Amino acid sequence: MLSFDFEYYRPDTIEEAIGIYKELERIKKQSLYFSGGTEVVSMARKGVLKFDALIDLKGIKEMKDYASNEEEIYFGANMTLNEVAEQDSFPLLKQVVETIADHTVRNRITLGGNICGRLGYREAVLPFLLVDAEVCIAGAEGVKTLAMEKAFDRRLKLSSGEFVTGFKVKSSGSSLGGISIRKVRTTDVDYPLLHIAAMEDEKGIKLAVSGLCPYPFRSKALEQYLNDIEGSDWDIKSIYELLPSQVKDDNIASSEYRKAVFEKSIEKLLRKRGEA
Amino acid sequence: MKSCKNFTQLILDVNGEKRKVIVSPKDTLLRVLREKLGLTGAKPGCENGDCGACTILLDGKPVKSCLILAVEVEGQSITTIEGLRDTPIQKAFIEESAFQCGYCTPGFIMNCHAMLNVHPDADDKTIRQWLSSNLCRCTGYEEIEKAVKRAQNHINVV
Repeated sequence: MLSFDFEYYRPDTIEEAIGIYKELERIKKQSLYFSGGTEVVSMARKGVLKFDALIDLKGIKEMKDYASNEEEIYFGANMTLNEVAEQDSFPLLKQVVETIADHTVRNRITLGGNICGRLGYREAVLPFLLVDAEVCIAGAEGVKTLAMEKAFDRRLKLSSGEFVTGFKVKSSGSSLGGISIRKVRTTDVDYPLLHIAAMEDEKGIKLAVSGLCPYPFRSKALEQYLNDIEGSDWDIKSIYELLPSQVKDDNIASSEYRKAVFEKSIEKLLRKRGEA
Repeated sequence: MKSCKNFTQLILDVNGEKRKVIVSPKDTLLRVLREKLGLTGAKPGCENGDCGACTILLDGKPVKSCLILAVEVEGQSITTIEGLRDTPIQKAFIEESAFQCGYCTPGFIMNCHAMLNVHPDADDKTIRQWLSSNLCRCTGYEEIEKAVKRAQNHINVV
């Protein structure tokens, strides 16, 4: 049992969800959209998250959709991570989501929930940052589609009352494959010390990183640096000037430990490039 | 649109029976199963989604009932350890002595049962991937893995 009272709403449509959010806002009640609920329930139980109402998006059928054709792949935000992992159309996304949390919890965590979560890892976003992905966002004006590159900066930039309904990627770029390097302190189900998702195309290596800094990121300056390296003539320490923030230093690992893991992982990535 | 502002009556489909229960939105499924329906097989462990002692099946898939609100699951099929009778995995756990204190056992059995339903020939990688969702702090995992393999043999013989 959670330690405080709240109301629960389960809309059947996007319009109903937006409507109840606005109504609750009008009467000064703080509401929260949720779907899988793993993060919301555990944080509420610990007392670090409070709300007057939960709006459960699981009743909205189109948010569970998956569609794939020669042009485009669509992942509904309410697909669980295991449902996403069952799809082979975006191999790097499959690789990444199969390593998040544990198998049982992946039957609840949704794609949208992981990417919009409060925890700073948001690992499922990594592959989307590497391809020309788009995110579909519902709000009072209807559903809009934005380039992920513009919509995601540390976290998905959502206005009050908005929520994510799904993600689109171009089939051609997504089928390229890639590599997921996930390092943990103890067991596989831990939060990552570091998670790198990388792809390579004719322009070179592209990579997105979670766990190293307080939020996930893709750094084109870092990619440029790595793609300009020839042979073994490079100074790994200079990489840190290209990161968007300081390396995390917390009770899971010191920044020095994380840096050592990062350096080994980058070396591995560059060796893989050499092998290709 | 379904809504629940305070206490409300739900009809939950538990182990094939329709069970009426009065719940508040703040009640987790684990606590409702244990304290309002008397189904104490699912265990409270960490109540944080880490240990898997509270694992049940929701529409056949293993989930951690401590992370789910009871109001979320009306209309879905819930299976607890009390809903299993003489399954191959239960027999195999006894035959392999795959438990010591037994606290984690219902969670492990529910997860193993779900896995064997969809992957009767699960390989070592699949078994480890599924079972990494559950923690045991006294028996160790070797006997549990042996029990899974024994259950696979039971299933394949049948």
